[in-house]
Amino acid sequence: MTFPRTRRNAIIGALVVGVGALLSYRFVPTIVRSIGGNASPQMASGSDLIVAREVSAVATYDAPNGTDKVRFTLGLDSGDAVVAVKSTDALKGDATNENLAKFSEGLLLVIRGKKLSELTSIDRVGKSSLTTAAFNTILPDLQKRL
Amino acid sequence: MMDKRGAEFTFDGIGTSWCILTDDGSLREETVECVLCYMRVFNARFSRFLNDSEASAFRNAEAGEYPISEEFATLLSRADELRRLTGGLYDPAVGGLLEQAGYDAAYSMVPRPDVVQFVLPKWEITGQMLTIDGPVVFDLGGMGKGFCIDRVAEILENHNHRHYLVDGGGDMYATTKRDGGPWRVAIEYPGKPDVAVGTVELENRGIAVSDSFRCRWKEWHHIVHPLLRVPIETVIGVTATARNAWDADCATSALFFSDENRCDEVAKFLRSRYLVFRTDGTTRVSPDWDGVLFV
Repeated sequence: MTFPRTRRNAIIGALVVGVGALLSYRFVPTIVRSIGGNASPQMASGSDLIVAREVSAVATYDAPNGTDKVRFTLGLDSGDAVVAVKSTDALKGDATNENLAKFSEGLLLVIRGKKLSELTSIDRVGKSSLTTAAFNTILPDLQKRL
Repeated sequence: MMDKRGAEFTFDGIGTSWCILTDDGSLREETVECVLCYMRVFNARFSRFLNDSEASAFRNAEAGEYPISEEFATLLSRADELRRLTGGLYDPAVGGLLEQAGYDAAYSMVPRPDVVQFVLPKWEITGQMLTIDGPVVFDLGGMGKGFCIDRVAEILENHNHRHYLVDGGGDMYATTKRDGGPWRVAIEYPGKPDVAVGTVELENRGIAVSDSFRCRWKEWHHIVHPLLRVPIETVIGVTATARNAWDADCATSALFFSDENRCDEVAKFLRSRYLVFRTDGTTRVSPDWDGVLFV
């Protein structure tokens, strides 16, 4: 496939966002189906996170050389949080090929987030640190001048 | 969570708040003193807000070749790598531009008229010899803190701590907890202090988080394009994990300036995984990202 990268990104973004939205509404059976319905946890490829189950959707779109189908698979942990994303060529028996591996580089997601106060067992919060003590002291004055 | 062998030590250093969590006993007095001493010395040597620091030493210098300290050479050598990796867009010589934009020692936060005429100084580093083409102010933001976090971790190791987390204003390095488990860290959404993007488990690795919201004034913030003389607005934040805090910190800086089609190459160079938060509300996720994301 030789899609322009911006178009690829747009397609990937739209697809992943769509899958995410569907997941949020507890799956629409006619569009998304569970593959295998994994009841027992398994290791996610390339990471040490536990995938409790996987769900996937096949997307069809027009490519310059015909119709392409890509299966996007999301690995979910026990809390339904996405811990893995992969794309495979649905026309080739779901075997990941090199082009699709590249295609999946830099996936775009819309991250809704959760309230920090809803999280449990957190040791620290990673965040930008430029709220220096000195900067904070001049903020009120700065706000008056803006 | 922490039991009676868990302890927390907080302090201020290099302009931000620090916290050291230990899961193998409290820091002894001599360990605390070593950490605080290192922080004081690092700030004195590398803060561009101090006129007698090494980072400011070339503020009025003439073109030429100058010897610098081993540690400054280490920092500038890494900065040189990032500069090449980003096609010149990450450059610590941008310190002068930040000052002209108002982010100066006095926190004037008022852009000067001559900011539009700023010309990025040229510099080269070979070993411990620095070559400049004229006055230059180095800003080690985007790499200095991660370096510092790793040095603090070294101090803890030298004082026989093995189970700890060093949090330098939101960037971190952690080993493991005493039971062998990881430290669990939530990642703040850029510009939304009460929202978590997701969580990541730290186990002998670092994490860095950078965004453009924490330090804004007028139309400026602290991450600026050195050639166009404007703040970067296509990306609002970057998070990266890597084998240590310094690599993670450098990755966030380089990724802030990188074209989207080069993110993976940049991340690979620094052996890091990333989240790039785009202005349009989407997030570019490293294919090997191993944290939980709340989509």
